[in-house]
Amino acid sequence: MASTTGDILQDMVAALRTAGGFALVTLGPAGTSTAVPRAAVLYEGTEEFPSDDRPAARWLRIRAAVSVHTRSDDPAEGCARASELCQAASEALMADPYRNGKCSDLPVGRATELGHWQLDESLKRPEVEISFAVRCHLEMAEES
Amino acid sequence: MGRYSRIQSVTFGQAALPLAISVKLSRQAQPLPAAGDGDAFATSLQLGLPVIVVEVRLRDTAAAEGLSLGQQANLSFTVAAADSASASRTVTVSGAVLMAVELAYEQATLATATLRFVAEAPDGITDPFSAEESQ
Repeated sequence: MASTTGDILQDMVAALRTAGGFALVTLGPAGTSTAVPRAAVLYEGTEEFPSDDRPAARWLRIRAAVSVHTRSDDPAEGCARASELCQAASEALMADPYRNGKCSDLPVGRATELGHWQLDESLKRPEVEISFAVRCHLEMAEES
Repeated sequence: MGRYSRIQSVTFGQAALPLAISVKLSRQAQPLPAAGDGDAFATSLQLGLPVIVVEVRLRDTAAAEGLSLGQQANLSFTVAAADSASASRTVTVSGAVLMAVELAYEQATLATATLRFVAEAPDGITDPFSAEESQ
């Protein structure tokens, strides 16, 4: 299961890299990097549900967040730029919602679902960061 | 213990009906009330012939599309016990006739098929319903 989760997160990182607008895309926090614009995929947890149509299967929801970070002295411009990057990131993630065949639409949710954008208001100018939730759903056969 | 929690398999003759969500089986007889003149309520009650109806809901709509109305076969399903100490149970309705197929394709949820069967007893005596512990 851990490797499947890792594969899905890596697939999200790869998808964000195809968006083209990021100088850096990381799995996990970017650490001390100051490169901008940058995106990070942050794993938040996994929820598990019993399958209601296959007795030997479980449905998993992998919760992650994507944060998009940029920098601008002009707050309005910074916000607009971060929004553009978020839009590009969203489109890149939804280009293949099935995450290379690992995820699927299930009764508990679509293969990939995106949440609302949230501006991090705690950051001080010129830093701008917008993040949004990503939920991926997949079916796992019961481990014997 | 007698608790069952998971549908392991559903078959109709040779055809598997995968991804079953639910199976509902009803054995029902219509009441035939009788009363004397002036009675406001039934003073005797008889039952009409029992009818066995099975409704199967499943997500594999392709499997349901392959069935024909009027098709007759034994309908069988196995439910697993809710605990490891008990055995699974297999319910069989012999001579089940497929009388309805409903396919529902929805935009935001997975498609489902609902199959309805009515059981027929060829000799008029043998109960089409049987249930036993799985081997």
